[in-house]
Amino acid sequence: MIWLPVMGLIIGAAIGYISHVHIPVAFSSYLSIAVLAALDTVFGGVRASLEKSFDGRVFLTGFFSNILLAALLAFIGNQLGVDLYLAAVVAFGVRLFQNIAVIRRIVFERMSQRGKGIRELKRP
Amino acid sequence: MQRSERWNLVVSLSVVSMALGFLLAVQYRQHQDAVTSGVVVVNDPEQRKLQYELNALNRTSATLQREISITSSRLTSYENQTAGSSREMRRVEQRLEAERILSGTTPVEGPGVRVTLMDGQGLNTEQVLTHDWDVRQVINELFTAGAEAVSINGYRVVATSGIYCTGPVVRINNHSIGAPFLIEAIGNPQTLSSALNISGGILDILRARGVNASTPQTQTLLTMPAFVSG
Repeated sequence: MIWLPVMGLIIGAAIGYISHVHIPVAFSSYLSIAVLAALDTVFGGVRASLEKSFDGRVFLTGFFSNILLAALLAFIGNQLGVDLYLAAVVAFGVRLFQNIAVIRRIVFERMSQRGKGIRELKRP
Repeated sequence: MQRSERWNLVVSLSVVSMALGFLLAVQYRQHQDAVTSGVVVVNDPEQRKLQYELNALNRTSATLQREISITSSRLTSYENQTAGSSREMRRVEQRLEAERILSGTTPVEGPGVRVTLMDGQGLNTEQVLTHDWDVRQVINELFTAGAEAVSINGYRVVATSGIYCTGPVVRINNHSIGAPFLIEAIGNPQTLSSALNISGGILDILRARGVNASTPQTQTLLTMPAFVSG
């Protein structure tokens, strides 16, 4: 069952690669922001599930609203001539690194606990 | 963890990762396309400014082109409305037609003559090469003899055409062309060919110099494109 998200990733990538969806060059910066937002959300979801604080509704709405918000920010920045998309890049980048660091720590903790024979010590 | 909760997690993660995969793949493909086609993503403000200017100019050009087509279609409709309404009008229209043919704005067809000028063989290259003034003289001869339309290698010659030499080639309407020069003229074939063939005329002079000039061939139907500037 844990392979389902990986399968989803592969299927989505295949669809995106095979299908001839073409985003106009003018919107390519929005697409890159959206990719970053999606990456951030996925890692956030993984972290939440490891911390046992996962909520499907929050996760799904967060995914799409983050993408839309990031694109909106980039759009407003484009209209104003201010590189607002940089704000989104920095914010998502920082959160991405933070999430990955937390995931790493949790995984290490689990591994050491498993070594001591204690399981799921950290239950919310 | 409860079973439904876990299921919830897996399904939403799968959905989201599918969307993520899609976005990633699209972005990847697009970026590769951009890199291979040489359209690099413009980040430099100066370049972006130039890009904006180019886009604005392109837009203006498109708008003006549309205006041209609208205006010319309106013109055509006016012409159709007034067609043959009076004798005066018909005369004006005939004149307009003649002027259009002369100015080369429309493709034309009709009987005429065809003559080819080729570089001759000889030691004195200066003498046997076909020069721009040779082509010019033949064209002038044809127009003087009453040619209505003339073309060189498929390029229409009009009042504003330039025929001049740039090194090894001759530029006609800013298109570079080289020998052989196929000169076609629409008009009365007999008059045109006798104007070229007249003894001591332009072709005789060229042949005497060593240029390989063909005899003018009478053609029953020649077609010529409209004038295109290079």
